[in-house]
Amino acid sequence: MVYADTFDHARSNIKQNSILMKRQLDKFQLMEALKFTSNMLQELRNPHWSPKQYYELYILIFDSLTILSEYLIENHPKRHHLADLYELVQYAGNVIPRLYLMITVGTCYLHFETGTTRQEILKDMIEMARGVQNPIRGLFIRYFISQRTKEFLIEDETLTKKQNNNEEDVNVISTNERDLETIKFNCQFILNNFIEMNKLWVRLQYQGPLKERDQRTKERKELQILIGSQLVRLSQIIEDDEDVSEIGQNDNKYFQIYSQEILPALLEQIIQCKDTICQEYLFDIICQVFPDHYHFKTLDQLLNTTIYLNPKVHINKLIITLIHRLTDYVNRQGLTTKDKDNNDDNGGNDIFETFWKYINDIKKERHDFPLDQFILLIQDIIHLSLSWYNQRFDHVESLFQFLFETFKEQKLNSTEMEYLDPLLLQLLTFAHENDGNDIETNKTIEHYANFYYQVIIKCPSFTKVILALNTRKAIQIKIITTIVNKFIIHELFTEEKEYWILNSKVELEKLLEFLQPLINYQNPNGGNGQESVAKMCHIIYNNMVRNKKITSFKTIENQLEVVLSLKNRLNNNNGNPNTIITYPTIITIFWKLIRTANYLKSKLTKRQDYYHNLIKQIFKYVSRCNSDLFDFVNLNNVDNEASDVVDMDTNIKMTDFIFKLNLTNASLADQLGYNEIAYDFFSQAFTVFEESLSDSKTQFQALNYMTQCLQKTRSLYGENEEENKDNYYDSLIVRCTLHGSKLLKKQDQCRSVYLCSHLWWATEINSIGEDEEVEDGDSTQHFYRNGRRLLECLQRSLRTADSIMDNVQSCELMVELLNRCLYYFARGEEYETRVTANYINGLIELIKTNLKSLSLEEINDLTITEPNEQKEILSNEYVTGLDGTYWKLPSKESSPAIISIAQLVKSKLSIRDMISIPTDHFNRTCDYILTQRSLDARFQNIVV
Amino acid sequence: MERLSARGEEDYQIKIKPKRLKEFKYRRNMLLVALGDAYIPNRAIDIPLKFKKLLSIPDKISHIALLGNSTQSNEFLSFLSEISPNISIVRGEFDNPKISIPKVKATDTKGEVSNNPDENKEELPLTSIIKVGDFRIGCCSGYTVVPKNDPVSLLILARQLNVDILLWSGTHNVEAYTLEGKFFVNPGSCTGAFNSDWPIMDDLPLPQEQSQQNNSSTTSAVETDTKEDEVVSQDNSTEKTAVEEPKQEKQEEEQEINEEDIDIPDSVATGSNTPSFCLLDIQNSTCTLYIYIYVDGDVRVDKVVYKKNDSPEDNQPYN
Repeated sequence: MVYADTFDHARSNIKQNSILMKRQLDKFQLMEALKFTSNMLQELRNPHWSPKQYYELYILIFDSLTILSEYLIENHPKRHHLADLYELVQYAGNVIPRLYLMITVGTCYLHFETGTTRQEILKDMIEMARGVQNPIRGLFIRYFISQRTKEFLIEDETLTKKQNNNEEDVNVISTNERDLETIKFNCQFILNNFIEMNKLWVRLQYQGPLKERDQRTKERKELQILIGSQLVRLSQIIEDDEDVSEIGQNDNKYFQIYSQEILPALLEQIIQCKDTICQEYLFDIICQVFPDHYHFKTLDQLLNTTIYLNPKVHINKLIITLIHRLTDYVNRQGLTTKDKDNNDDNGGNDIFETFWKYINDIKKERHDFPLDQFILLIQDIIHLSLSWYNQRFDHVESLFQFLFETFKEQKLNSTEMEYLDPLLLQLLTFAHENDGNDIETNKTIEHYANFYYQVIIKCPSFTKVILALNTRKAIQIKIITTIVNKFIIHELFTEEKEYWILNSKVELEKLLEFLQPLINYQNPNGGNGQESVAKMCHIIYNNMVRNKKITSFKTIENQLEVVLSLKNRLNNNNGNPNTIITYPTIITIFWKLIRTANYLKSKLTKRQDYYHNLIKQIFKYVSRCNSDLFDFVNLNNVDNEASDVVDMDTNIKMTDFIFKLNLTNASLADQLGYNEIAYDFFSQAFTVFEESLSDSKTQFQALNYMTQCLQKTRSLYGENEEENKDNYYDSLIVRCTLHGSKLLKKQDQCRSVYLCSHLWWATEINSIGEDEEVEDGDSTQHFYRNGRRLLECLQRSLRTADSIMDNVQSCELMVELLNRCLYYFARGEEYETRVTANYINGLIELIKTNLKSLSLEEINDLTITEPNEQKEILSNEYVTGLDGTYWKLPSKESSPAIISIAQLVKSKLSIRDMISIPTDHFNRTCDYILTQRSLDARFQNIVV
Repeated sequence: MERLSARGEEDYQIKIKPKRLKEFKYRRNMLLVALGDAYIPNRAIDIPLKFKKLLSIPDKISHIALLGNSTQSNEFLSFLSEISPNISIVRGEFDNPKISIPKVKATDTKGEVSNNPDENKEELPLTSIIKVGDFRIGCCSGYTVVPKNDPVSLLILARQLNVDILLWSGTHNVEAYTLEGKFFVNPGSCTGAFNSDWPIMDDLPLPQEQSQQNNSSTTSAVETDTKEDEVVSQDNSTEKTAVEEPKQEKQEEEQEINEEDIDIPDSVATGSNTPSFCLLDIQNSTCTLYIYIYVDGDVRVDKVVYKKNDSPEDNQPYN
């Protein structure tokens, strides 16, 4: 007999023979039928089919043989005896058809036999199958055995179970024993078959020419399911139903078989075959098909096996599968500790200990074990450990300790470590913990902040590992920032803020140790994460204050200590340039402490002196911060003699910033009544201004801010003006006004001085209950007011305005001055402010005259311009800003749905536009005077 | 300046659900958000999440006016630039004179700020003017306005800039009133940051009484104090009377009291009120101001309407 040469031909051949076979069976012509069966079985002899094609033919054959076996069973023994037939088919010519026929008949015979006869038949079949040593054909014939015998091997089970239930209790033990033997035999049978199949499967790899290796590998992957099915079969035998496992007896029985016979045999196969594909596939299948709680108890054996696998096998992949199974199981079982204890008792070993021993073994046995696999492994063990044991951070600590030491031993240089970056980021930010199980385990943001906090506090090696990443700066910073962001999110976005609590200074030190790399981080490209550090400082302070009743930071003095050690960390031995960004936050916290201390001072009258001194002390700390910053900026100056524009900007910015910090400090001190401290801070501000603030634009703004601050002070002058002739306030405001009159640009001088006039005219501060309108009110009587000096300022300002050669500027400043005069006119009585209606009228006259001469310039200008252009220009409008900059207002024609923004005018304006600025401003002011007339009769004295 | 009747305070508090912001897009109007004194990270961590959610509606807000002390955080600036590409920034006392404003580029990964500091670095002006509908809106952080927060000095500025609405900041207190037909809005601090100004120490006298002589063509005027303020000041006043009356007993008791037993309200340390910001909804000559205040974890919304008074007698030319 020969087989067909094309696949289609082979297929039709099988189908045809199958039809013929059926026809003969219908006529009860068994011998004829067997002949056709034998014919179609010839097709399975062809060695040229790929596994896929072979499988397709096998399916056709399998279906036909099923029809045949149905006939055989139905007609036994009235038309034939299966024992005879079993002998008969042995005479078939070729081994493949012979075996298929034999197995078909043999399995039919199994239906009628039990006990030892059945076992004999099974043994015989498996022995005969050895006759085929071609991998593909051999695999399929063994697969055929397994498919055909499946029902008997597993049916045995259910049958005996039924018997068990029906029989008397007395007999149970004996049946159980018999049962056990059967199960053992069945397992052994499948195991045998499996071992042979596995050998064939591995052999397939080494068949044919070397260049077809890849092709072979592909084919093997296609065939792997045949091998895997054997393990599935095994698991079906020993798998216990829910109710059986409750009894526990069967469970134990099955488990014994599994742990003593099945698993060792399987693992031995895996190790001995030395084949990567086989090892990876089979280990994975073992993890997948057998019950999870078996794995717990046989964890030692499983893990040990992996150490001896082919070095090319990715162990961590296998372990991860196993760990995922275990964690899923733990999560399914619920996370109650009781369950876990039970499981621990059952397994007789500690899961974590097992894994712990395992990674140490790997390290000892496998010197070639790569670091990236270690990292993945550790990540998974942490994951398992955290779901298995709820709060055992000591495990996490051990693992990080292990990682830290592995790092040290491997002594990797930075480029070698580059490929580890993503792994480390995942491991050290616990990215693993944060995704996937969110909904299931109901973990929230609070949980995470607390989780990270616990890790930092309880696992010193975690910080050690992070610090060890110093050569991989980018990833180190990324890890820290990621974790800090968790804290920030927690602080901002959750109601439940008490979740993590800063308990002691020791904890604080640990937290700061962890933050240290970020605190010191210098990124030449800017954006070095100091914003996160600053936010973290706020968070630490908030946490401390919120939880002060239950932590060791009960008093303000305790809290102060914390802020001081925070400050020292940030400064890092006087050399951290990042303090420019982080110190302002520390200063804010100091300010908060000062205000709190002041509040306590008002509550605990007995301890007023104590708080008084404390407040003074904190102000000194703030002052230290200021001078640190100042020194730092100046030091920077010296270092970079040839500093470029960017550095110049930074310096102006920083000096200005320190100047303003001093003013804010002064204001705060003044509000609390610490006039000496306030005076001192104002003096420091002056020093900064005089020594370091050189940019004229910044000077102008800085001085105006100082004027604003000084104008709001209350503590610097005494109740009685006469007594305090040489009071602090006087000297400060005179100094301020003097600086104003010495500014570089005349228009700055003029504006600065007219603003300084307010320093001699204190106004109400609503928030502390002052009200000028209350007749004979106590509050306004001691206001610092001096009309004479006020008018002097305005006059001085007017002289400056008048002396400016630019007519437009001069006019605009006069209009601004007019507005200032109107302010005093409206707010105070003429005899007090000395700003009289006459004075204002004089100013208005002066402005009118000047505007007239300005308009003459305009007429000259007009003669030149074209009429068209003129119209266009008219639609433009210009104003001056607070600092005298020209702004071009958006034109009136813009559609209501468009937003337009005024442009800062940089190019030179036409004279016409320039003239419009003071003229329009003056007109608007006059409108104001006119409307005020109806409300305040005094305004009628002003002539417009 | 006229305040709505004390009883009326409840009347103008119209609760608006956050959804409301979305509805705006179907109307022909312009939305302008006014924010100020964020002080991130120097004095505050961030704006409340609920504010972020309210503001995070891209393409609806036409303009943002950033009124000082809000440029220290790049993160915050890029958050704002995602809300609206148009941001007007004026300089507050603690802003750098020159800053680089992050621009959201389509190609950029989300929220990444360009690391090159020289790129589009701009000098911050002290004042800025925006035109929306019929309104000219002036922006100013108020830090060079002397006297600080004085309505009349702000009026001078509004006149100088020739604007109808003046947005200012620096007090960390949300405020809105009309004066001389001009509308003055202070959105407060959007983070509720530490306030170095005089803390609010007593019950405020009613502002009706102050600067009455300036009161002319007021359309509708409101001064908004946040609830928190009132709570705080009430606390203080009751404590004060308690201290005053049974003076001797109190002092004896004090010896027993330890520092840690005293509850310190948050406002004592920060000296400021709650976070707040303003939204100006402008249609032709009507400006509806929505004041968003974050109180006890919830956002309270107040509404004030301002109509531009464009009667001819107001525009009388000077003769």
